[in-house]
Amino acid sequence: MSEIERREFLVRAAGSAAAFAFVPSVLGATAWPFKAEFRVGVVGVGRQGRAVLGELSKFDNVKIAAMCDTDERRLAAGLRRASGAEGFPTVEAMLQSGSVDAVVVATPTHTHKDVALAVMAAGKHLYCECPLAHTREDCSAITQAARGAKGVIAAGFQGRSNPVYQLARGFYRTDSLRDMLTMRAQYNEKTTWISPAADQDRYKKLNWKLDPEVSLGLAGEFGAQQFDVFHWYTERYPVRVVGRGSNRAYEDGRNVHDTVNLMLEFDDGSVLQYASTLGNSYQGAHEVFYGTHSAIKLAWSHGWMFKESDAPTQGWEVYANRQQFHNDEGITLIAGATQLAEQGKLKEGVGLPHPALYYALENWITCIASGETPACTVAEAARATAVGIAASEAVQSGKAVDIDLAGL
Amino acid sequence: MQTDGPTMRAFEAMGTRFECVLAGIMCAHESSARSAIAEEIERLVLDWHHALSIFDPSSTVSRINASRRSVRVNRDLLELLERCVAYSGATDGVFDITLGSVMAARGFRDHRPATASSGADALELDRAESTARLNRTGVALDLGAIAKGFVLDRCADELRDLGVSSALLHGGTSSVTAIGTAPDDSPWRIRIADDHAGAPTVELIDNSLSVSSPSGRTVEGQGHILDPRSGRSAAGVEHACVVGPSAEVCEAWSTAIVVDPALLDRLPSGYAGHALIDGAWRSTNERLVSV
Repeated sequence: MSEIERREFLVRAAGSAAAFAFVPSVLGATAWPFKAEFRVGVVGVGRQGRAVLGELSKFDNVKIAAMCDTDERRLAAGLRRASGAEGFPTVEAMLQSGSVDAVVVATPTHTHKDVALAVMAAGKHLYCECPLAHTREDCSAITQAARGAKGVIAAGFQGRSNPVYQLARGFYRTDSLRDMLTMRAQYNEKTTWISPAADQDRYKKLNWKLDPEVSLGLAGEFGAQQFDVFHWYTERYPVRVVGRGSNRAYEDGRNVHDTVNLMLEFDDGSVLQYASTLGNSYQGAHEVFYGTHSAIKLAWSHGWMFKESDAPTQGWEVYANRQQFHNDEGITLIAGATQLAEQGKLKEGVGLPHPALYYALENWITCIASGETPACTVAEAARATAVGIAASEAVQSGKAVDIDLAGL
Repeated sequence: MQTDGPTMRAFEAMGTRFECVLAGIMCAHESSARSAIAEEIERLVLDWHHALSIFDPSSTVSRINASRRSVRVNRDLLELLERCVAYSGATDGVFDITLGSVMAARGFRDHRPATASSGADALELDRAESTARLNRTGVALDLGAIAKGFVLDRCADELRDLGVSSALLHGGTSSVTAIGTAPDDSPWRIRIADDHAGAPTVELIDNSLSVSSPSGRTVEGQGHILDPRSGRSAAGVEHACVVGPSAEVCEAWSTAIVVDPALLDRLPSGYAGHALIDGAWRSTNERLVSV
């Protein structure tokens, strides 16, 4: 075998190791098992609902058959995004119409329970956005209903269905980190978090995230999604959380903090540090595991492993794609690395071609066809949400909150 | 309720820089609400960027280009494609959104296709099913000649719905739309950057402007605006400007006039044009020229 042939062989072999969790849909069109159109309804066509419409439209043989919103303008705007869909002012009307097989719930968090229960009672498949609900009681109610539900019930904690996160978890579980030292995550996005409206009543209704009576704030709305990544990887949940919040970016009289800092403590002594601000976008959303052999950084569409100099080198790493960040060199973690390398597309900064929401919806719809359990069940979502609720309480009260997941 | 000074926001989308200036806004919480509206506009533009971009393999347009089967499209995009077919007819085929492969073959993209063809007849639109399909191999859509104008019209609609009475938005300084007047109650004034005598300053009040130029992007000295009839780069018209109510219409026609200056005399009713041809500015409406 010549040197060139040997390099090609190693690249292919290396790629196959890096492609531990290769998912064909990452790179190509999604082929669905449905022969006839599968009809989905979307409840709530605000910002997240519109994102759902956009991703659902990418799937062959999945028809957005109906949508529902109590806000007429949003419903009208949503209907223009999905031609042929029928609009309904209430979820009951939509379910009674018989026009859908499955429903995505993308309404405000504090309304999830009523909508989710109605969908499950109607025997439809359900995908409920994250966080699952805004109280433990609502989480319990949804979980209870899901146990007896006929359809496939999934929740929108997107890390578990994310191909990069699945790949990286393989490395985590096969000791690439070695001894876990600490964890960190952040969600930074410079945004007012306001949905503008000319009418004051509509303004108040659209901006529920800034209503302290119902909003879980940054800790719950964003944090819960990211905490779940750590739950999934470590198979542990934190037992205590302390936090602080303040308004540092916006002086508009808001009562929900625009900047929060949290420390979540686990029973093995490890700690997850979390920060989130609406005043700055630097480094966006990401999660980091620090270990004695490497650090793994996950940033939703991308992932990297940063090896320590004294960590053993695996054969595949020699030809792996790398990206430089100041003094640190990260090995790119991307599912399907072998195929990308063969197509000459394995390059610096390569990431997933679709947003994480796409893969979460894909997983749900695939499970509807196959009967498999979704990547994130409602039970797992309830536990992750409960951690988010506790974190939100810690921020609002300024006191440490014990996290008890009994009964969830 | 109070009004306050302008808010400005800039962001990258559609391969260029968009900027918006929001002036007249009635709101209870000044700075946050203005910022929120500016964010909404940025989000709207980026949503359409993701739907229309030929550089994003998951965009709707990319999926139409990649498949010879019918692709479901949303109502707004279907109607845009229908209008593009109409613009093609109105300009005798000079405006053409099916030049994607030809552009790539000429080196204006990062890949060279095996075959390159064009023609509005290759685009099949089904209004009832809301689908679009290319029925001929080698043809690809490229909405670069109209996307900015289309998006600016959507932004203007959104801003008016939100009660904004004075605003200026532009995409890449070549497509501009104005809502109301400038903060000092005078028209928004846009100077066409050109050294020839008679270069116009356009005054906009609830109006839009598009400026097309073949020298915007070049490959081997050849401009990016192609004549669909020959496949060659357009020459002879250095700048074409169209003013009117719709930024999208302005952009379609300014692009077409660069290819065929005779179209300057066939602008739709309510639209005015100005073009630099062989070193001299020619206008269909002298009100466009500010001395």
